[in-house]
Amino acid sequence: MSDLSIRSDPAGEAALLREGGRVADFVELLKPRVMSLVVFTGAAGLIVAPGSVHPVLAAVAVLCIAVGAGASGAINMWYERDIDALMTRTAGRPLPTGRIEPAEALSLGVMLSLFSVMLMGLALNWAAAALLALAIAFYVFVYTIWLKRRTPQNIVIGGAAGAFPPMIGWAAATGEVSLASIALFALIFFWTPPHFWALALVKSGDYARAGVPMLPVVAGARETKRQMLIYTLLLLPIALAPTALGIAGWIYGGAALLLGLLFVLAAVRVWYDETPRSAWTMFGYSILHLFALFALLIVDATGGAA
Amino acid sequence: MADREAEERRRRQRAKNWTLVAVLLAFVGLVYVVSIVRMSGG
Repeated sequence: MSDLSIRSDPAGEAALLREGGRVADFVELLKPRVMSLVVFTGAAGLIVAPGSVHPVLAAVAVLCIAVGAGASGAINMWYERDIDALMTRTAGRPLPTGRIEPAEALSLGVMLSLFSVMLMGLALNWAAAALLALAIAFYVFVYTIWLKRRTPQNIVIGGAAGAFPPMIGWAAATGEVSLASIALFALIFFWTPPHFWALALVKSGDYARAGVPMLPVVAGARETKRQMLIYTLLLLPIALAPTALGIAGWIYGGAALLLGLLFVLAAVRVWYDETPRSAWTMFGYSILHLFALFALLIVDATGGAA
Repeated sequence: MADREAEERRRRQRAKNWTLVAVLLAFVGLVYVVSIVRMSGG
C-alpha cells in the first residue's frame, strides 16, 4: 500500500513527509470528536453506578476510557489508510496525506492501548480493564479488520465497540457488570445503526468508491431507511430501561420517551424524503439525542443523590 | 528551500519531543497521585 499514490501535489506532500508530522496530526489520529462522545457516555456510566469512587480515580478511569478510544481510533486509521484515501470525508486525515508514517500511527495506537488498559487495572480494577481491552480489541479486530469491508451489518455488530464505555465506567465504579450496565450498553448498541446509516445515506457515493459495503450501497436507500426506522422503534423501549431498572427516575423516563419519539419522527422524515437533507439532519440529531440521554441520566443520578 | 525544510523538520521534532516529555511527566505525576489515593484507602 503506497500513500504516495494518492497525493494530488507530490512535490508539496513529499516535502511535508520529510518534515514529519506535527503534534496536531498525532492528536487527530486519536479521533478527538468521537472521543468526546465516548468520554461522556463512559463518565455517565461511572456517575450513574451505585457506590462512590474517589474523584481522582474517577478522573483516571475517564482518562483511560478516552485514551483507549483514541488508541483504537489510531489503529483503525492505520488499517484503513487505503480506503480513507478514496473517500472525501477521510482523504485529509494524517495517514492518507502522508503527514504521518503508518508505522508511527500503529505504534502510537498499540502503546496507548497498553497504557490505558494497564492504568485502568492498576488504578481502578481489572474488571474495568478487561472490558476496556475487550472494547479496543472488538473495534480493531472485529469491526475494522473483519466486518467493515465484508458485510453491510458491519456497524450493527461492530457498533458494540462504541457501546462499551458506559459499561466500562460502571465496572470502574463497582468492579462488576450488572443488568443496568448492560441496559446502558444496549442503549448505544441500538442507537448506532440509525446514526451511522443516516451518515451512510448522505455519503453512499464515498463508501461505494472505497468498496465499503455499507447498507445503502448494498441494499439501497429504501431498505436502509426501513431498517433505520425499525432501529429507532426498538430504541424507544430500550431507552426507558434505566427507569424500569431503577437507575434513573421519571424525569429521565419522560424525556427519553420524548427524545425517542423525535428520533422516530426523524426516521419517518428520512423515509419520505428522497433528498439526503433529512438524513443529514437525522445524523446531527442522533448525536444530540445520545448526548441528551446520557446527560439526563447524569442529572437524574446526581439530583437523586442530592 | 532545503534550509527551510530542515528548519521546519527540526521545529516539528522539537515540538514532539517537548510534548513527549510533558506526557511522561504527567504520567509519573498521575501514578504518584493514584498511589497516594489508593494507599489512603480511596
